[in-house]
Amino acid sequence: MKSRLLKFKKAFQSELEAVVDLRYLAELKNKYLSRKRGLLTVALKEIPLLPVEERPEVGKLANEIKYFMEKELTLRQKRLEAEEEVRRIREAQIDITIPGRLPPLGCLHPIMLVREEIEKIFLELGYTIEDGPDIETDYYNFVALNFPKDHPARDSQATFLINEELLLRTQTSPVQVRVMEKREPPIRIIVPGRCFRRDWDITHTPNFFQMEGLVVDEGITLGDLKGTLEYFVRKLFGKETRARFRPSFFPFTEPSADLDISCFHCNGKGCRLCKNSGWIEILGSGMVHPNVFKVVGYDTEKYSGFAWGLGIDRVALILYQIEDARLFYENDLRFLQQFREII
Amino acid sequence: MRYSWNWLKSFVNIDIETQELADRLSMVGLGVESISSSGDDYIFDIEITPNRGDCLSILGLSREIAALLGKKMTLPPMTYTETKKKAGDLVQVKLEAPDLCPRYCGKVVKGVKIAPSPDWLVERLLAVGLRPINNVVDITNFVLAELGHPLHAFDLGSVLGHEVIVRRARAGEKIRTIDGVERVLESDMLIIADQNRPIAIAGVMGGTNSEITQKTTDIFIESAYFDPPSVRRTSKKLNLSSDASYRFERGTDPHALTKAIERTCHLIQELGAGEICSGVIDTHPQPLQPRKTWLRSSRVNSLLGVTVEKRRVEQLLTRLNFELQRRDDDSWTVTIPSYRWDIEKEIDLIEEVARLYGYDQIPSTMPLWRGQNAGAPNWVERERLIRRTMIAAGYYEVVNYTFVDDNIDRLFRLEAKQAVKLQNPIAEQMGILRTSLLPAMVSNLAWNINRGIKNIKLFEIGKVYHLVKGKKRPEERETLGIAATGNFAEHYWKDGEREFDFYDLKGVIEFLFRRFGWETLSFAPDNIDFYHPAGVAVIRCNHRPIGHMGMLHPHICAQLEIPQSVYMAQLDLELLLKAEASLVKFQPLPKFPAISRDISLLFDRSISFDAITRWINSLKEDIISEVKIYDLYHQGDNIPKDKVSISLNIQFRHPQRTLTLEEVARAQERLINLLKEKLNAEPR
Ligand SMILES: [Zn+2]
Repeated sequence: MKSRLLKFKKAFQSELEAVVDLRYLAELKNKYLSRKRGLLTVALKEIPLLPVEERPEVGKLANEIKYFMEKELTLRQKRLEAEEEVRRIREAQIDITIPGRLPPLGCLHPIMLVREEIEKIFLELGYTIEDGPDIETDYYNFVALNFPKDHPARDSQATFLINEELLLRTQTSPVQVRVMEKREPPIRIIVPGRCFRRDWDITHTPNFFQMEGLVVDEGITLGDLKGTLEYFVRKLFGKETRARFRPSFFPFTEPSADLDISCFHCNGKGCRLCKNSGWIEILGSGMVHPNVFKVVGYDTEKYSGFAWGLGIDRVALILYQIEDARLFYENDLRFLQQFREII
Repeated sequence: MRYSWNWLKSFVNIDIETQELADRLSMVGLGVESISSSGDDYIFDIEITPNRGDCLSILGLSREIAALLGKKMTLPPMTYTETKKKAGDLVQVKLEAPDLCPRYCGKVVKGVKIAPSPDWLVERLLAVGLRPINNVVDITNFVLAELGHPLHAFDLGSVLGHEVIVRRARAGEKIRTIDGVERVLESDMLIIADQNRPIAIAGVMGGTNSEITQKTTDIFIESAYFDPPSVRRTSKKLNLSSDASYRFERGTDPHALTKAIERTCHLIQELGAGEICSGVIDTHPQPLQPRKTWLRSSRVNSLLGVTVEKRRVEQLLTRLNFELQRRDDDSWTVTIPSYRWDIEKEIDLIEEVARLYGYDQIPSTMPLWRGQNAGAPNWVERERLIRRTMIAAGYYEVVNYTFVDDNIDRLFRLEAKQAVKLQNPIAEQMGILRTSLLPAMVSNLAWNINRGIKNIKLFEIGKVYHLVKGKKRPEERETLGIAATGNFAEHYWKDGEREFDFYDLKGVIEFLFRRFGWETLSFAPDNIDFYHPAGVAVIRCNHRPIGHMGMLHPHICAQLEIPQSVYMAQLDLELLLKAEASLVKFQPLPKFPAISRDISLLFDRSISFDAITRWINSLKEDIISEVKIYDLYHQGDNIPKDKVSISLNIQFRHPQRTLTLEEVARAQERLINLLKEKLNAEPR
């Protein structure tokens, strides 16, 4: 009996070694410990038939072996379960290199992106935003801005006419006059908006977007104009950007200045973007002409101011290095999608 | 405008290199576009702003260079000898319109031998882009390029009655200009005439009837100052411009008329082209007085934001030939050179000081802000939020031209609207201002479909325009357009595909309104020609129609060659941008659980979900908290043709206690009975 028990133990040990999964483990458990026919169970049931003096020793041994088997089986089960878990996890592995399911995402038109960028810079400086009508009168678009009738200054602005009195604004500047007419200084505004000129080529489209800026207060100087616009171009084009102001002519500002920035593409060395000059013309600006202040009834001795205007389309062309302005209005998705990363 | 380096150097001793000169000119407002070499010369191409007509010559630019470099200028030789014959005996000048021609000078040359010009003269002309013709014409062009003063040479033999009359044209008078075109004149145009007929359009172009020819022996050289706006008006009306009119429009120097004649005579004599008769005819009824203004040093400093020493102001302006006289401790009286028409007042002088002082020498400062209104106004914030919402919903923003084809726009126009026409469109198919955003957006879809992109969702925010009865000014309204076609989303390998449909479009509009808390949105069926009659709605906000939506009519799709279904909507934003956003009012969270019940009913095919919910609401069952549709189908084995099966999900909830199942069952029964009675519903 004793030897049979020891043989069971030995056989169990070697069979346990061979067990590779939970199914075999269950079979093994059944084979020895099944309540009805397990080899050890049956052997235990035979103990009362043994001579009395053998019973304690055999009984002890049998119980030890049973305990041993149960312990080993439990250990083994835990180990197998752990292995199983590892395998299951491994098998659940997905191909993480497949591109993800993008949530629906459109994007802003590049002109609107640039417009919002510029707005942000000036809003932070305490400006507010104004707008005005696209359909304007000759008075607001020209006369009030010191463009006399029959003056060659009008040549640069080929105008769309609606009738004798009305035209499509060629610039956002009429809004300057409209705002000053209804408000006293101090004034600090920007005016984004659609403008119209009869030009159509690779860098001109018959409508385009402009941004206008106007500051009026006591003691505003040409130095203030320079400081503000230098701050602006560094914000928009990068910290390293240098600005250069060149005298220019606009009927509604005097002194007037064109603003060039150092080419951010070649760092001023000269490239295609800057036509080898190292500079890119960005905007026109100047001190508000006293004639404009007179039109709106401001005291020209008390107040001074500066104004500037830029083509948003043009800035977008430069920023994104696009060569053909007409692309903006084709609305080809392959074009529009490229501005997805920027928002 | 082209300038020859060698020619400039004959006026000023320029001791810097071409590139440095170009840079410095640019920094005083004479933007050099390019320098190109031409033989032993360099050609500067300079953009002259419209205020600087005085710079449109070698002399004019030399004046600027001399001021810039602090040098003196040398004028070219102007001497000549005269014969005894007096000009005044050979021609009479009558100035009948001194308002449009304050000064008119002339000179007579006899025994002219018309011949080609010598090489040196031809070279100079070519260098500045003028075409050589013959010695006499070339000399007048040479003087124009050199001194900036337009001259005109008449064949004196063709001047009838030997009378040169400066007068307004008679309406309907005609002249054939030297470009060969016959022009009909109007009564406000200034002309030069002889006894019988116009012989030149003053300041614009001469007539063929008095043109210099090979047979010409005697000439009359005109050197006049014409009123700039008058020349410009005439030139614009006739759509005729010339080198002369370009300069007259920008203002020439009335004091340089005789200098131009002297230089011309000198050259005629040098070329042996004729004999100069004695005397200059100078008709000058009211001698032009030198123009004066004043300048305050304090104003210079306060406007520029830098202190410019008084001596420096005097030095800079004197270099530009202004004459300064101290008026008091702070100010000067300033006499303006006769050629500087751009200078009238103090501000103009401040610009001159700033320009020569150097913009780069002015320190940059940031202005202080003492105003109160700052930041983006509500309408801007709201428009941004609409943009962001549309993007988040997967729509791409487009920007289209304001100008559209009337024939296409008309297809999308609501009957009552009238379009704004342009007098001078840039192209025939861009003749009106859009009355709707949709035509251009639909062609955006077509454009992309033709390039292989089939699933497209677009929006645009922009103005539409239409005439308003009884008002001069057309109306402009900020508008949102939406257009979509193809599948709802790009295909993903794990998912199925689904076509974009009416409810996707309606959903995005509802989403938009929900973000602003504008809850009073409603959709009502309507007839709008350009939509498919089976799927079109008018959108109302607070019971006011603000837009429309639906599926584009298949006829229009076919006409525009779009092979897939198109959904689109247009909403007027004016009200929404101005409307107060409704404040969110917090609702306490429900304390007791809801009980959910599904019921399926057969309705008549023409039923609307709106009708069902309205009847359910009329029950006023407090415990019905929500009614949703969870299934709807027409076809099927046991659904009659004229019926539709609708499954509703109903949530029952009581705010103060847990509902009993019996209560719910009773409410559900009342609901079903009502639908049976009112809407002919049959339980399934
Ligand atoms: Zn560059």
